[in-house]
Amino acid sequence: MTVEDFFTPLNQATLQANDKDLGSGGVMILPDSAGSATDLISSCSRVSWERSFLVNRDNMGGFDSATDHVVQEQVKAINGAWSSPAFFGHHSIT
Amino acid sequence: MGPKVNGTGLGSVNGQIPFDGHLQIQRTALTLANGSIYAGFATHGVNEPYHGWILGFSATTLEPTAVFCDTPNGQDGGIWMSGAGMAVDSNGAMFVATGNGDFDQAKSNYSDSLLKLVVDTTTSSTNQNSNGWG
Repeated sequence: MTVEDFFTPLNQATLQANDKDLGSGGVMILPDSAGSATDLISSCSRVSWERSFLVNRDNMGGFDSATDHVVQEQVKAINGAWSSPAFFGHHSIT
Repeated sequence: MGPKVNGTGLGSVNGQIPFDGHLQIQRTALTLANGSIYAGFATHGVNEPYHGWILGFSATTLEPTAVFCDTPNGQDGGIWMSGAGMAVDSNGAMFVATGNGDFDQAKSNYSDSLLKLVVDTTTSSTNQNSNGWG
């Protein structure tokens, strides 16, 4: 299998040094009805350093040490997640 | 003869990383996509050397169809996601979140990342890319 695209947060080195897994929770592809007219908004992840990301499935953002190129980044919306996100009633639920 | 990928990361032997079932444990749910069943692997209690792996098997014959290691030239990056399965879009691309470990795109190390993985039909068990085959 080949990595076609990826997103890595700008503070990856800090995550690594502190045993903070971005992948503590699962990912979810949002239904088209939740996204933009171009249906590009898609994947959502929860992380154990209290952030979640909404990324564009067709342009995930890569790695940039200056800024995270994501659709949306939520800080401390949740206190870490060890679960899978779900979508219901136009809300992402973890 | 178990799964292996090309790489010089932790635990490598002669330029390849062998999948070691003594060190790796399946953590994700099974995912059925593209005619294969995929499973993600991480570590038992952070005992090195480990990596994040995805193994694919034919849904009809259970013959190996794909192998992926997210830190072939590094270490760690377990794929666990609290037991969630991988997400797959309508084109068959697979999305996965990886645990902490080495990251360097130039070395094909993708810890602490969201990955979009696609089946690579140009590779085989004897002709791998840096991540594996299939």
